Amino acid sequence: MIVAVAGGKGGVGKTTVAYNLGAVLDAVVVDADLGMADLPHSQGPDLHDVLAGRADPMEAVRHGRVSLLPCGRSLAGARAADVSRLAEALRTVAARVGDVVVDCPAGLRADVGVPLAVADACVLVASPRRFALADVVRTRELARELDAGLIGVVLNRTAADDDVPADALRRTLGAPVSAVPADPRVGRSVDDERPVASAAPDSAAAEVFRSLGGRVRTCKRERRGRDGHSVNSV
Amino acid sequence: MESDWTLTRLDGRDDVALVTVELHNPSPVDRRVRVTNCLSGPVLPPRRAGVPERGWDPDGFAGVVPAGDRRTLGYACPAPDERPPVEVRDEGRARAEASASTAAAAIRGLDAARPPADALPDASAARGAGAAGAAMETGTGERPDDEAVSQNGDASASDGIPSATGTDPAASSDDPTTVPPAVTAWLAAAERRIERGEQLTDASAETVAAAIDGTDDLATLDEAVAADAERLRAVSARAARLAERAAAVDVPYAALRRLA
Repeated sequence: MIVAVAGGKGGVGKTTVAYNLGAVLDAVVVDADLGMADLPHSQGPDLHDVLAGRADPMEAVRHGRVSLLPCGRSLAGARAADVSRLAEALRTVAARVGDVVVDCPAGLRADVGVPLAVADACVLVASPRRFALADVVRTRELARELDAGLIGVVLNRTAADDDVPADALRRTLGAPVSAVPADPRVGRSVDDERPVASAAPDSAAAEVFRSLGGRVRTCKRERRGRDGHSVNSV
Repeated sequence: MESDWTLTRLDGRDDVALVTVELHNPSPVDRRVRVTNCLSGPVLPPRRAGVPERGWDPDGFAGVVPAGDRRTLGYACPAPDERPPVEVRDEGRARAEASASTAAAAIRGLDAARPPADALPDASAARGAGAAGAAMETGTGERPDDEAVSQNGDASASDGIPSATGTDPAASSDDPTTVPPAVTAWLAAAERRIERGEQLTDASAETVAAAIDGTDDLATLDEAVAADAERLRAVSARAARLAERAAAVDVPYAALRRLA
């Protein structure tokens, strides 16, 4: 199963959510942000090489606490990357390892559209600030057009005094909305490569990621049952 | 299904056929149609963002012509003429189609994800160097390409190009846009020879007479230009390989520092 983590605006925590969701699902997390990669990167082939036809997708997967398929950091690599190969690369990894979580870039360009088109379902990430919510609605529209059913919406880094219209959001987006309270352990999880589900299993954030993971698994079972129909396409 | 086709040749190219197919569905229902290429070459369909438009595949086109409506298709094919160039098959009444939520549709419909060429440090460096070079040199239109080659050219220069390359390595390391002067000089000399050769290629008698006047290097010019072509190609290939390797370099500085 391929799950795309998208959200429109940059800096809302898509990478953090993708990484921690990947940890819960024991999935490979693919950094599809071709221009501004976020996930830790080390030596060896990366997604740029895969999309330029220089490496097999499975060669680029790094196994660690969370398996990653990192992306290169160079603009030249981003320019040489052929986004039309991304669909095939994601399907290949999913066929080999089972679950794939795709960390989508910000914006609504082809590098967001391809993962959404290939994905069986998507998770949207938004900042609880009102100005950021319009972007998540636009991304929802794109996901709907591309048949990526919405599994859930994560409002990242909420604070006690945030006035979040969670009910309105749930009605507008047609999916459960969960809030991840601001927590430094969540922020550090990607850089330290320590997912919160194991680093702080009792935290509220870990609970959100576990329940999100549970919904992904339910959706996977439903899909198997219905043999390939998209979920929750409202 | 009524159909009509035209076959023309691409302007100035006898080897590429342009095929236009006009389909007309006079019936009161939408009908599916299959247009198959009969020419011996590959189908070059219309593309958007590098992806063939919906309905095109390597054999031709499959799609729906609405009731009482027309649809015009066109493609190119590098092949000799054959008539008819296409076979049109009516596949009966169209059923409701599932929306094509494919990756190809996403690429066609959304903006390209690629950073613009101008964003590449190399491209801007080449242009900067090109501008500087044009000021010093003859200022022909080909500077950026030449400079892009010469960016990495100092290593290639050791491939049998006798010059003082490397006399000032500091210049290139301080400012990546500065091309070693020896490389610039070598390219300029090659360019002069090539320009002279171009003037004499297919030239009129007067031009040739004017060019020959007072010179004696014509006997060796052809040979020299051929040698230039070979060297430039070698440098270009090596420079491209080096640039590719350079782009792939990613020193894990943070990790190394942690180790240290």
